Amino acid sequence: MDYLIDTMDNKYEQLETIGRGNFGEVYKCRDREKNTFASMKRILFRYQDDGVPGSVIRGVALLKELDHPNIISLLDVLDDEKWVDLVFEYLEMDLWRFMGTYPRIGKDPNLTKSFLYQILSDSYRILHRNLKPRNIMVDVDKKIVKIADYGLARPVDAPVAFTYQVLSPGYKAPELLIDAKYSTPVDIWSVGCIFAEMVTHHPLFNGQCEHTAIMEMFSLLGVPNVETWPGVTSLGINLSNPEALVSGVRRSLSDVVKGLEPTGIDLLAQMLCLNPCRRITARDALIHAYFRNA
Amino acid sequence: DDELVLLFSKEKEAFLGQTGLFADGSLMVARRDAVDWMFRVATHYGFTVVTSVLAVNYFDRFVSSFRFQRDKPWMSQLAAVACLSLAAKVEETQVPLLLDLQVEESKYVFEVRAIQRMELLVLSTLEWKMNPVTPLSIVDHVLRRLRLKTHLQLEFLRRC
Repeated sequence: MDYLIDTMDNKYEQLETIGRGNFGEVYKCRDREKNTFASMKRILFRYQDDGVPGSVIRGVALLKELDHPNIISLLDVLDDEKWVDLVFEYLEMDLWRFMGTYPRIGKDPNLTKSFLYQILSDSYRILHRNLKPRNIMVDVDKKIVKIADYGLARPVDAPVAFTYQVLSPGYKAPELLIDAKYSTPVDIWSVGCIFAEMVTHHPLFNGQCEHTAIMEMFSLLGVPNVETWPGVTSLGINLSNPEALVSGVRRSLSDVVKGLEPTGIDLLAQMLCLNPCRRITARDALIHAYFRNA
Repeated sequence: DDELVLLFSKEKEAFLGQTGLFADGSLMVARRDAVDWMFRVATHYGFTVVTSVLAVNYFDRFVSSFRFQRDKPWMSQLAAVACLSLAAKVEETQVPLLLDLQVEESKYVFEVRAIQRMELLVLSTLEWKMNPVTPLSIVDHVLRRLRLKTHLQLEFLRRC
């Protein structure tokens, strides 16, 4: 049809595949004109009979509105009959690889503090739900971290009716594991897990499956009860035998996250509060004593 | 009030280039038909007011762009179908199939492929900015500021 102006030109040269997700593949590519790199996510329209999927429209519209130094920015959107290509700013290194590549610099307490601050500073506007070291990109020279949110996020005021799997169990908040309603506190939980991992360079929870993830959490943080988490009994966990919900020897956060200063342990404990209503908010975390001497 | 200032500046941004629209007689006739049809379909399916407001917003922004070819009489109806479909996909939880959307004496009936191409053309023309500030967002904000959001006001908003 002649009214469609072709936007799929040769603006970008496609290089290697750098990732594969639920929605499609991510490629590294080169902007021929500017001679810069970008990453390109191709989102295929799975259902051919109903136009552009609503999830794609809402996802891209939201990404278009995000403009924050600590979020990977969406540079361009190219469309075709069967897919859209989202072109994002490209950074070579993610936090997971960064910790593996720079075991010493990566453990610098000031760097940890700075990275944590940057991650928290964007997270009260947007519900990410998929925060983990592989989704956080690192600009090694500038010491900047940016959250790579490739379309799962939604605005904070959007309806909460999520049914699909969003995150690997190791970084999942307890209310996600037990199918309770959830909101921005799930991100704070994930950021807490990432915080601990930046200090030790080991995942705080292994989370092989949801059941063991819950056991790991309760073993470290204690089994919740109606006082620490009002309404917890209605969430479908059998709390009548708390001993059955923990494994191994009880250890404290400061035993597990060795080398973190006391104010850091305090902040971490508040981020890993099992009860989402009592978990610290991003706003309050940013003014916590841990950041005072940064 | 920062938030309100932000809303207004965002609103301005979304309506750049719209000034010529209302001066163009033949285009206004096409627009009236299109808006009329979109409202009838919205009523038919019980869409929310926000969906209708969004559909008209998309339509106006699209037809005032250079990509809209006004010499083709079916173009405005195809744009109307695409804009209403996009608005429903953004706002509604239940969205009828594209073929089912073309009710209420649609002058032309388009096949799914044509509508999808038009959807993409509208999306890229609007630069995928599908959450514009509308009069409703301003009213909603002011009501919240004044703490007027009682059941009565909510009911009123739902009906207006």
